[in-house]
Amino acid sequence: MRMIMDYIQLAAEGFGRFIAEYKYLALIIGILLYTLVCLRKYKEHKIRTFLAYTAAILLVLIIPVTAVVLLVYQTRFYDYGWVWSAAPLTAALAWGIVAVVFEEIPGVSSALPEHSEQKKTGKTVATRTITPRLLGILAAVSLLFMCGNQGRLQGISEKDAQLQAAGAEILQYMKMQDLIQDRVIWGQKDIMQHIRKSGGETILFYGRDMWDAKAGAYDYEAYTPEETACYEWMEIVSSSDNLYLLEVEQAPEYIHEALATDVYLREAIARDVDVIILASQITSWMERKILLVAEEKGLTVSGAQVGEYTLWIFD
Amino acid sequence: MRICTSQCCVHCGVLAYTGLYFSRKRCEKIAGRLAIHGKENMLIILGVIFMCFPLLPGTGITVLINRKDADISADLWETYLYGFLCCIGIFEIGHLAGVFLDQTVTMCGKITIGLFAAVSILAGVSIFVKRRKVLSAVGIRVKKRRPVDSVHGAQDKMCRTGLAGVVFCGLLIGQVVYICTVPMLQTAGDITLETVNSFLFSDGIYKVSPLTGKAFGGAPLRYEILCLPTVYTFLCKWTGISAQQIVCNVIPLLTLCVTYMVYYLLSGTLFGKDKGSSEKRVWFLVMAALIFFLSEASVYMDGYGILHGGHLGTTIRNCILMPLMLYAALEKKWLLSVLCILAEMCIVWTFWGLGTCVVVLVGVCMMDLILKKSHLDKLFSGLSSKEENSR
Repeated sequence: MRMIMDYIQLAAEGFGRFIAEYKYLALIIGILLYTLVCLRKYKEHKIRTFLAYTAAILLVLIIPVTAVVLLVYQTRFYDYGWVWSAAPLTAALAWGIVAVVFEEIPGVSSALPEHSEQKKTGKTVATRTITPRLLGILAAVSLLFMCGNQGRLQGISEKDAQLQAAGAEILQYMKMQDLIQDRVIWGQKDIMQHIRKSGGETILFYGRDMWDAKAGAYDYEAYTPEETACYEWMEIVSSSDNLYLLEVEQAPEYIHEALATDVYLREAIARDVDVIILASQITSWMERKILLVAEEKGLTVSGAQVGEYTLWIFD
Repeated sequence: MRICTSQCCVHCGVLAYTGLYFSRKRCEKIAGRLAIHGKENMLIILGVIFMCFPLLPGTGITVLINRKDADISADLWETYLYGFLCCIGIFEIGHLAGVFLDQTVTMCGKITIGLFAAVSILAGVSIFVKRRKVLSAVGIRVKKRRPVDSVHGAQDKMCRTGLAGVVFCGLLIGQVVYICTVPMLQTAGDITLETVNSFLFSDGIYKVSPLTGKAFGGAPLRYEILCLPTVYTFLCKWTGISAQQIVCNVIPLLTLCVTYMVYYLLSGTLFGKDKGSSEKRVWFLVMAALIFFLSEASVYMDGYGILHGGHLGTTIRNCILMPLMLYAALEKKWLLSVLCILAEMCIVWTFWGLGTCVVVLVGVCMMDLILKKSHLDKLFSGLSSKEENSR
């Protein structure tokens, strides 16, 4: 019972979020209402079936109780938004616009006499025929434009692009120095992600499923609390916002605490990490600790500066 | 667009066998002779294979399932899509052989090529055996050609359809450029690129963890049987193109093209297949293209899938299989419906093994039955005729 209530709550909340993003839903419902009113114009059984299915599935998805049935059917592996895959939103919207424009705005040529003088000059007739429907289509396009992203297409942010460039630079250096094979790498999440995406030969301390839970569906194994703590520490000492605070000497206490501790470095080395990638700004805090940890474990360590990062290589 | 299928299958047969018999090195040699260098040669060959390869098994299926009086050369796109779904099935068999027989990806590729050869030969034989049917169908088509409209009417129609066609081409080119140039966004939960990289490196299916590269206990079976990462790995291995390019550019472009094929096919059902409705059909494509561009704000929208995640199983399901299932259910093409359901099972984690295609099929069939049983159609027709009479 509790699970069903959770599902109903998920469906109700999900719908709210969904329509906030997907503003076309109102447009589709409008078109469906229009077609219901003007159903006599659509005599084809296939179109009636298509409209009936679209209306029925929208109803099922909008009412939280019925949406739960689909949520249970698709299992908790998928988010609420994916239940909307069953509704042919794009097809219904595109069909609706074309149907409304072509049914409600008749071509001028049909109104002209069959053997009109104007028809002899194809250009004039064509222009006169196109204009009203074209205006209708332009109105529909404007409506779509306003309901959609208004032409602002998504792209990767400047910060992400910088991190990717840094990751590419580090990877190139590691390949040149032959530091890739059989070495476990640990660093900031975006850089590790870029390194792993660039080739299968790299081995990471932990994967993207550490911060992107959905990415972990392929694996039954979970990370230990120690590994999670190492990840959290690394993100604190590598975050560009925190590094900026350090530069302007306004860093809060927890950053200084993170920089003062070496327990996570020890933990990483104990888990066979060979290369640690840290921002160059924190080298003065980290250098002594890294040397001490290496000495304790009987390893030699060397540092190499690549861009704004320092690679600590343990052998 | 309505190229005769039998002619097409001869061309694609030649190309398909060229693809099968010529190894990667031979293809590179041919491309070298044609003075096309680098990876572009393989991209061109891959494009040609994508365009032509599904047509052969597709034609085979179309020939086998059509009745005597049917016009089998009617829809090239439908033939292509039958072949496309058939290709997914072939790749799945190759992939399953790798999973259950513990084979390498290279061996999976060889099994897949062998299966392709067998299916192509079977399709070729079925076309040869039923060649009379094919030829008679072509004859029916030639006879069925309707007289040309009056000069002005035709000019007028052509002008309007041409305008819609130009707009659509502009949008399509825009989308192609966008997919090829804009770096792919990181979709939550998408580990395709990492998986392909790990398959390429270990030459095995889930031998190492895709996200860390460390050895691990293996993926859940329902996850492991999904074939897309193996397909992409096979394409990378065979063509030498990087995983990044295959996953982020090549496959999304294929998805984009096949999506418009399906939408064009669906438009025939919604607006009619006669030449008079060609303008509406092209405007339908224009609207679909616009919606894709303008609705890419959320992961769950078709626009996001098409522009940012064309390689994802969910995108292939939502943009290709769902409209195709809608078309198949409305046209009562049951084999196509079954192929859609099976294809979804091969590419998307559905857990119960059924997936969303089944929901669409059941929904459309139920609506069809309700409309027929309740005589709503007749009621509406009666209402409309009464209204017309009263006018």
